[in-house]
Amino acid sequence: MPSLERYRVCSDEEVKRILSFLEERYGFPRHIFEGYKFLVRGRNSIWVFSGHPSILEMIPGIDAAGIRALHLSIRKALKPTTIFLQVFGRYATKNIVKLQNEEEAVAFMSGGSIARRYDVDDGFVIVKFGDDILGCGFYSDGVLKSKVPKTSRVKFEWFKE
Amino acid sequence: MMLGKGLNYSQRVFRYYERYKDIIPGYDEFLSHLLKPLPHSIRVNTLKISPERLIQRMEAKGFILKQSKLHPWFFEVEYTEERGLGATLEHTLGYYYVQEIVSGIPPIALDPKPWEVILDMAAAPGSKTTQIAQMMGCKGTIVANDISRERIKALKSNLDRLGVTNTVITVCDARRFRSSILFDRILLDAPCSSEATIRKDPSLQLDFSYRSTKWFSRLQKGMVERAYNLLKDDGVLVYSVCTFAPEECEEVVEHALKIGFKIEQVNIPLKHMEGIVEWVDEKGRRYRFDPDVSRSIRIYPHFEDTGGMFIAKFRKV
Ligand SMILES: C[S@@+](CC[C@H](N)C(=O)[O-])C[C@H]1O[C@@H](n2cnc3c(N)ncnc32)[C@H](O)[C@@H]1O
Repeated sequence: MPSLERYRVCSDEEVKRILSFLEERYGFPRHIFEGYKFLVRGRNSIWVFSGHPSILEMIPGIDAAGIRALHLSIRKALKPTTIFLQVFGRYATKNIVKLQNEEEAVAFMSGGSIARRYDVDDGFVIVKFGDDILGCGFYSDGVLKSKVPKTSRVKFEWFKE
Repeated sequence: MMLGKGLNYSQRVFRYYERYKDIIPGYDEFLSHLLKPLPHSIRVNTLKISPERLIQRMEAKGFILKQSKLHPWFFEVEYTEERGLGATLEHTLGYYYVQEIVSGIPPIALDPKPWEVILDMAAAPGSKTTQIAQMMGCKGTIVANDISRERIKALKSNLDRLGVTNTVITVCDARRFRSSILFDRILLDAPCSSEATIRKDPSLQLDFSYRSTKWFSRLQKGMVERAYNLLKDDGVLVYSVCTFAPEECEEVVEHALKIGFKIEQVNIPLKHMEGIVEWVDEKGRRYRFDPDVSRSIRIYPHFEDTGGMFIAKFRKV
């Protein structure tokens, strides 16, 4: 069995930094994360967990806890995961890209790019279509790149009429 | 060697289930249902969307949803769309889970409450784990365990897709599960001979010359024993299997009673039978179980046009 690094509950200082980032970049109100713990494992990932954090100490060999929320990208920018945005994204108020039609949604959910100017800051953005939060994209220079992982992509054929 | 060469599919099926002809009422109808495909069904993921909104969206795409008698989160679905229920945007975004109606019963019997600590001993791919999370509104803790790394992958992707935030995953043989806390409730949706899933999976290997039921029975009893030690006093265990074999059903329930569990009644709004107290197997061996096993539930495919299922609920007293 691969030996797993243990999860650690983030310190108050770390939580403050995470919440400031989420608030400044996406306008997430802090209070929506009351009742959630942020966990770290390894160097690059932060997880969000709504269970009792003491469980992490009481059961050996925990393989995963909660959902992966944030990831430090190669360029050291924090990237919210698609699954995190699908759960919490509706509370965000900025750096949100709204796709205009189903074709764009298809392209995005199959991992493609969309060339169009959006009124958002460069970097990782939240992508919506209608009421649906689709996931995380990367916007720069008038191009929106899908960051939806393979496992969360839609089967393309669905949209082909 | 596989006996019954030269028999066609339905003859093999009939031969395989013959041992149950005296315990299943309406046996001919039972047999004819085994050969029919299972109606499609889903559970709405209320962590992400309301049933009303999902119905609207799915019906706009040509799916017809009919609420199941079991529970307002469950729907039978009709469609002609060949791409099916797994290839919609709504599925990708985790707005529903494709789940058999009878598979929804064990979590309902478990009746988990927010803030409790729950163990799902054999959890992958997570149909019931995600349903339990939904019942708890992701408050409290679920430990989802399975022995199979391969199946754990599917569990993880389902937890991610449905947005379940209160679950931790462990990978071990449940009979050796270690923990320094005790649980409020445990679901043991045990590995079994799976005989009752033939409608969902007609390719099920049915070899009536060799049955694995005794082997599973031993495994299930071992898991029940571990569950007993992992439960708080007054804690609840729900045991479920998708088989009709009394060796994996009533015999395991009787074992649970022997080690100190008390059995409780399960109330569900679907037609069902009580656990059987007497049975003679195909070799003429007679079984007589503790009369209390009759408080468990047997669901047969021809009662409500579903799959089959066996459920018992216990309390550690
Ligand atoms: C009936 S399936 C569980 C289905 C699951 N509860 C659901 O609703 O999606 C039984 C599971 O038991 C697992 N299993 C088999 N032997 C086990 C053991 N000794 N300990 C833990 N899990 C085991 C199998 O890998 C399989 O995933």
